[in-house]
Amino acid sequence: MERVMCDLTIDYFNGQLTTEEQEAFERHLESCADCQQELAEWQALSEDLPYVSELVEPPVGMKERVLGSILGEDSPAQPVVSPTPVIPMESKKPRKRSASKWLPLVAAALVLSLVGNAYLGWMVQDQQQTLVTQSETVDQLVALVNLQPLEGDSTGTASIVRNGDTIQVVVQASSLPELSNEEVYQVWLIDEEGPDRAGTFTSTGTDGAVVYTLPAGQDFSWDQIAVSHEPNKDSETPLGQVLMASAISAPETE
Amino acid sequence: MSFTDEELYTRILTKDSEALELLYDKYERLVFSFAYRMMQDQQRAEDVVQDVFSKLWRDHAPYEADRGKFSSWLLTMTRNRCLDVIRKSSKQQEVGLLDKDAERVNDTMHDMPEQAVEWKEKSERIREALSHLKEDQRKIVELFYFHGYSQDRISKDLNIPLGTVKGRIRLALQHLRKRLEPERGEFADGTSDV
Ligand SMILES: [Zn+2]
Repeated sequence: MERVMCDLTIDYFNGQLTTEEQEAFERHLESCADCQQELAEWQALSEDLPYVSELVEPPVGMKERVLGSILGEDSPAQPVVSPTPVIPMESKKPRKRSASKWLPLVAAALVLSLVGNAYLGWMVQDQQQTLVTQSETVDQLVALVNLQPLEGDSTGTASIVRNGDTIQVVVQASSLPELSNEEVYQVWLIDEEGPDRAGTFTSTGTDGAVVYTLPAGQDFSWDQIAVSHEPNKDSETPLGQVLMASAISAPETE
Repeated sequence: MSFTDEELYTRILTKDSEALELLYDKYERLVFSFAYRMMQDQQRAEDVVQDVFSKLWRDHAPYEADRGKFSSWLLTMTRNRCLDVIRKSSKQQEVGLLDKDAERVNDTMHDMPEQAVEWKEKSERIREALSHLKEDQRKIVELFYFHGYSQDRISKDLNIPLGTVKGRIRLALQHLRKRLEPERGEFADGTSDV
């Protein structure tokens, strides 16, 4: 019996035991010096192995999502806007993260960092760099939503930033599906009259971002935002799959 | 400005969110890179990162300084979480090349933190060491450590008797260790050229 237990060390180390087996093994472990030693040996021998991994760049916005989710649960607060998904499609799988929980925190972080344009600059990377550096005055974040995945695993955020009379819509997305040929991702702003184009973008790796500036003086009057996968940058209405969508609206201005 | 991991960990136990952020910044890339290597999928790797830091924050996962380096502990926790997810999804990854959907960190990265530089250096050494192992030894390390397979599965996948699995893993890891020993010496006497 004991020998059989002692043979389970590797499977225990690799988390391959059933709950019952694991409990039995742990009881055994308390009194078996051999197994304790062997476990320590596996631990020591494999200590350097994580470093085999190639360093990869985390997806855009991961820090905000992770910390937002963790800290958001400890400090309930009002979401900036309702992040309810709007396009009535069956959601493929329930996301375990509740968007509303982390939104306030992310929003707060955004407002802070937008002062220096650091977040924007980092978020949209080089291709939009010019847009960002043009706005010298302080940006104001008026809304931020978590885009809900509809088709595939893409995730992202959309925010409305006001800068004087100018309103910009900033979309950033991760885990985007691959593009081929002339395909692009298209951002749509939607109201009762249908969708309006609001910028196209492509991806770097599986991440992408775009800043769309509304015509001068125009207020933000839409109530939904969506990102679709289009055959090219000229679609006047969504032709491809809608990857993500969310309700979004700018609060009334004074 | 600079706190030890242990200080940060202690502050996290008191729900100091600034400490959590500092620790996160320090280890984000490392935990993500390792999780990505294990999961071979960006979204799943991110979920693991979230679970690991969440566990640290919410469950006060117990770290004891006298039982080893904080980074080792964090990486062990990361690995365990990865294996847990892989097992539960029952869709075990097949042995194969890592899909390349994550952007590699290149040398010119503007804000490469100390840890990343250290990682890169360590990484080169261990991959060099690994390249000296025989093909079947490399494979068993891969199946054992990165796939977390059971002895039974390893025996079947590699078509070797169950009774020899443990011995082979040990031998492969010991070879690796030996290859790394001289390098470790270098590390220890502080000649690292970071
Ligand atoms: Zn034993």
